[in-house]
Amino acid sequence: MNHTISIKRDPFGIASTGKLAMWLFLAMDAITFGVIIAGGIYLRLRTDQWPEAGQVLNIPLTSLNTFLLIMTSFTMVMGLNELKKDNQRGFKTFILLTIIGGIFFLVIQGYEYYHFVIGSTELGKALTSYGFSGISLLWTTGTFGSTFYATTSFHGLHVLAGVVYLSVILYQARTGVYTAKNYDRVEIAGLFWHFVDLVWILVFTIIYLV
Amino acid sequence: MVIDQKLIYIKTTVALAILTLIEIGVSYWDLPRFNQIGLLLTLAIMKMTFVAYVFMHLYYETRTLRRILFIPIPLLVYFLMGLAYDATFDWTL
Repeated sequence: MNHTISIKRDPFGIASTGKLAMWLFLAMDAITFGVIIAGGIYLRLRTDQWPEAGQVLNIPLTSLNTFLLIMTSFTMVMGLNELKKDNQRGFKTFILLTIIGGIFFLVIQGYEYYHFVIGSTELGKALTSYGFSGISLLWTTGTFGSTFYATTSFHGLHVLAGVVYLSVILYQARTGVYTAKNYDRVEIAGLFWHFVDLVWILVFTIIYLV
Repeated sequence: MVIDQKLIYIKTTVALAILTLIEIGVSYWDLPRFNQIGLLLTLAIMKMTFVAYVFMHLYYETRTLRRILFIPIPLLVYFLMGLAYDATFDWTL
């Protein structure tokens, strides 16, 4: 008797359960970001009281942050690349650079917020020309202010979460638990970090450049 | 055998940096609003695709996983079109 066993291909290939779970989380997180961004676009379309690109928000400073985040994505993926080659030193160095880059991003964002909250006469003039009162850009500065802070601070919290997440990975790595054969958790952490970069690309375009 | 993908990652990072520079240039360029927004969104989508496919290794995942992740995007566009129906925004400026 001829017995045949049909083996169906796994629709998710060799992706681990943890990796699939992270993808599922990221898909849900993308919907959350999507709703915030879509809400912002809706508010933008409903009003004329909205500054032109670069008139209030600081494009050069934020561009620096964008380059910084791209570089951290590079260092993150290089960290994983080095781990796959079992280069522990290279792996830890790249993860540390990613964490430092993330902290710098948050410091620059904090600096940007600080200047908006403290305010200045130049900022006040720019805001007045678009019908806003006061010399500061606050959460209450029309739908523009609330959209700006809601979107960028939600993203900033993701960067903070990513910095903590990678710090835990680096702390665990001191014992050599991650190797060329055991890198799944590092790859999953990397997915989260790259997602933060990916969302920033959209936030930077829609909030700062459009 | 482990394949060293260092060169691919460097090329992708350079491409992302160049696309960002082009984006910044386009934002200062005095174009009709519709064209400018269309160009900026196209560049952003290109950058996001690079990050997802190369850095997040989506290129190496199965077609099923990729499809599942991309299903919500047309829905979001449809949702935005519905919201924009009665908007006062002037695209021709």
